[in-house]
Amino acid sequence: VGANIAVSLFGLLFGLAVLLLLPWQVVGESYDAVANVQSPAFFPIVLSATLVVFSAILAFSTARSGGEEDAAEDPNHLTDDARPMEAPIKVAGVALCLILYYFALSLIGMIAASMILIIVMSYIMGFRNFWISGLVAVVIPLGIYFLFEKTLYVLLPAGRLF
Amino acid sequence: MLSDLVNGVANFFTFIAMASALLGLIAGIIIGALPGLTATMSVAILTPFTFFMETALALPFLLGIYKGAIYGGSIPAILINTPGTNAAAATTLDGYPLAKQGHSRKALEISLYGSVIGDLLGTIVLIALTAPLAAIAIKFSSPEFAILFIFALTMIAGVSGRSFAKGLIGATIGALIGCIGLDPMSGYQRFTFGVPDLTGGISLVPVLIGMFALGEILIQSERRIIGAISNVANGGQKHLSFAELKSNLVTIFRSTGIGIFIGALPGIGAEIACWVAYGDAKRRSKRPDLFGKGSLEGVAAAESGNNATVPATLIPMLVFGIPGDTVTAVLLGAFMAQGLLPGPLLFQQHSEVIYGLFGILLLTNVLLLFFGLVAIRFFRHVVVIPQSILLPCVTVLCFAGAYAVNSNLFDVLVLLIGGFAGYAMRRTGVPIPPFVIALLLAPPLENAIRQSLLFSEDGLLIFLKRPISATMLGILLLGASIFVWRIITARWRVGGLGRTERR
Repeated sequence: VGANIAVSLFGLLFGLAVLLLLPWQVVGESYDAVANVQSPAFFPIVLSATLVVFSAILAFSTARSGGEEDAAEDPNHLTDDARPMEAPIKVAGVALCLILYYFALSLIGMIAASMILIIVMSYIMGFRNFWISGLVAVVIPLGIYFLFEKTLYVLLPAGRLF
Repeated sequence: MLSDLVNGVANFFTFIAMASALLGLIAGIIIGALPGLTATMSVAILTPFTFFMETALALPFLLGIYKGAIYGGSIPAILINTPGTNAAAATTLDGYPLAKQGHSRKALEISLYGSVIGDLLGTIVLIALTAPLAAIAIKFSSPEFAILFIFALTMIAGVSGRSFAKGLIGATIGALIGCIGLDPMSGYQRFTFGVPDLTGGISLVPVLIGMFALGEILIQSERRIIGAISNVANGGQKHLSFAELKSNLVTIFRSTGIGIFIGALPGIGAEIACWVAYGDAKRRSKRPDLFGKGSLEGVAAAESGNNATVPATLIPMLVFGIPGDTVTAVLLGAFMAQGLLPGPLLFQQHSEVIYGLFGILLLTNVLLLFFGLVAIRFFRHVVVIPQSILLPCVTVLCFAGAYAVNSNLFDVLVLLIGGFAGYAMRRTGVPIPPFVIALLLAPPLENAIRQSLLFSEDGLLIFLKRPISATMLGILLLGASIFVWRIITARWRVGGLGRTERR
C-alpha cells in the first residue's frame, strides 16, 4: 500500500507542478491553450491532466483493493538472503559514492576519481581483497582512459586540481 | 526484395563490419554471462562507443551485443543457478539440475542450438514481414500514428508490471519529460528553466544508461554477493547427441513461434517469452514430470523462446518506430544517434541499411553458433567474477559513456538522476519500459496528435472516422473498461473477504 500511495502522491504532485509551472515555463501561454492545438502548452496540459487522473485512479484502486495487488510488487526486490538493515545502508553508501563521484569528476578528474570510486564502492559492496581492488582500481580507469582518449579521441573530464 | 537484400548485405559485408559484429557478439556473451548485468544494460553501456563509428560498423556491433547477451545469460543460469540476464530466468529451472547431474555440457549445447535455431527463424520472419508491413505503414497518416502510439504505450503499460495504473503513470511522466526542450511545431522553449543544456531536450542515451545500468547497480548493491566458485557445477563433458537434438526440435520450433509472436508485440520481450515458451513446453511434453528436475526440453524451450524474440522485437521498431522491448528502446536511441529514424520512411530513405541489417542478423547467427561453442568451453570462469568488484567498474564505464555522448558534465548529471529514478521506480514497482518508451515516442506522438487535430474539421471525431484508428481506439476503450471493471470488482472481493474474516 505504501508504494502505491507514494507513487500516486508523486504522480499527483508532479502533474500539478507541471500545471503550476506552465505559465512561466512555456512563455506567453496559459491554461486556455488546451483548446489550441498550435500552442506549445497544449500537449503538456493534456499530459499533466492525464497524469493527475491516473494518479487518482491508482490511489482509488489501492484504497478499494486494500493494496492486495501491491504484494511482491517488485520482482527485483530480494529479501530472502539480505539482512534487513544491511541493504538500506549499502544502497545509501553506494548512492553517496555516486554523488561524490559526480562532483569529484570536475575537481580531480575522471581517472583519479574512478580509482577512488572503485576501491570505496567495492568495499561497501563487500569486497575485502584490497590487493585485487587496488589493482582493478588502477587498471580499469587507465584502460577506459586509453580506450576513450587514445582510441576514440573523446576527452574524459579533467579535474581543476590535476 | 531479394535484390535489395543482396545489395544491402553487400554494403555491410566488409571485413571490418564482420569484425565489429564479432566484437559485439563476444562482448555481449561476456556481459550476458556476468550475473547482474542485463542485456539492456550491456547495450546501454556500450552504445556510446558506437557514436564514433560509421553506421556500417555501429549497427553490427550493437546487434552482436544484443544477440550475444541474450544467449550469454544462459551460461551462468546453467552453471551457477543464477541467470546472467532476466531472459534466462526460466533456463535455471532445468539447466542447473542438469549440470548437477553431470550434464552441464549437454545443457549448454541444447541452449546454444535452441538459441541459434530460434534466432534464425525469427530473422527469416523479420525479413519476410517488415517490408510488407512497412508498405502498409507508409499509408498511415497522423491520426493512425497518434492512436497507434497511444495503443502501444497503453499495451506496454499493461504488460510491463503488475499494476496497469503504475504503468500508465510511468508512461505519462516519460512523455512529460519528453516535452522538455523546444516545441516541435512553434520552436518555443518548454520547461527549460533557463538551463541552456535543456534547450535541446533531455539527452536520451544518458537517461537510458542511468535507468537501465545505474538503477540496476543500485538494486544489485542491496543484494548479497553471489558468484562463489564452489557453486559452479563443473561436472559433465558429454556432448549432446544428434538424437537428443532431434527429439527436442518440435519443442524448439514451437517455442520459436511463441518467441516471435511475443517479440513482435510492443513492450514484451525475451523476459516474458522464456516463461511462456517454458510453460507451453511443459504442458505439451510427454515427460512433464522431468521439468524442474533436469529436462533438456525445458532448456531448449526457454532458450529458443527468448532468442527468437531478438529479431522479432525489431519488427515494431523498424516498421512503426515503436520499440519492441527495453533493448530495442536503447537501440532506437542508438539508431537516432546515427541519424536513422526508425519507421516506415526508413525503408524508403535507407533501404540499404535495413537490408544490410538483415544480413548482419543472419551473419551474427552463424557467428553465435561458432563462438557459442567456444564460450561453452572457456567462459565458465567469467561467471564467477564477484559483482562487488565488477559493478564499480561498470559504474565507471557508465559515467564515461554518458560523458562521451556530448563531452558534457550535464549529461553525467542526467545519468545520475536517471539512475536514482530507475532505482526508485524498481523499488516502488513502477515499470521502466513504459517510461522510457514514452520518452522516446513523446515527440512523434505530440506531432501526430497536434497535426491530426489541426487538419481535422470535426475535432476529435477524426480518430473515429478512419477505420484503422477507430478499430484501435475501440480496443483501447474495451481495455480501459475491463480495467475499470476490475477496480470495481476488487472492492467486492475485499468486501467479501472482510465478511468472511468477520465470520
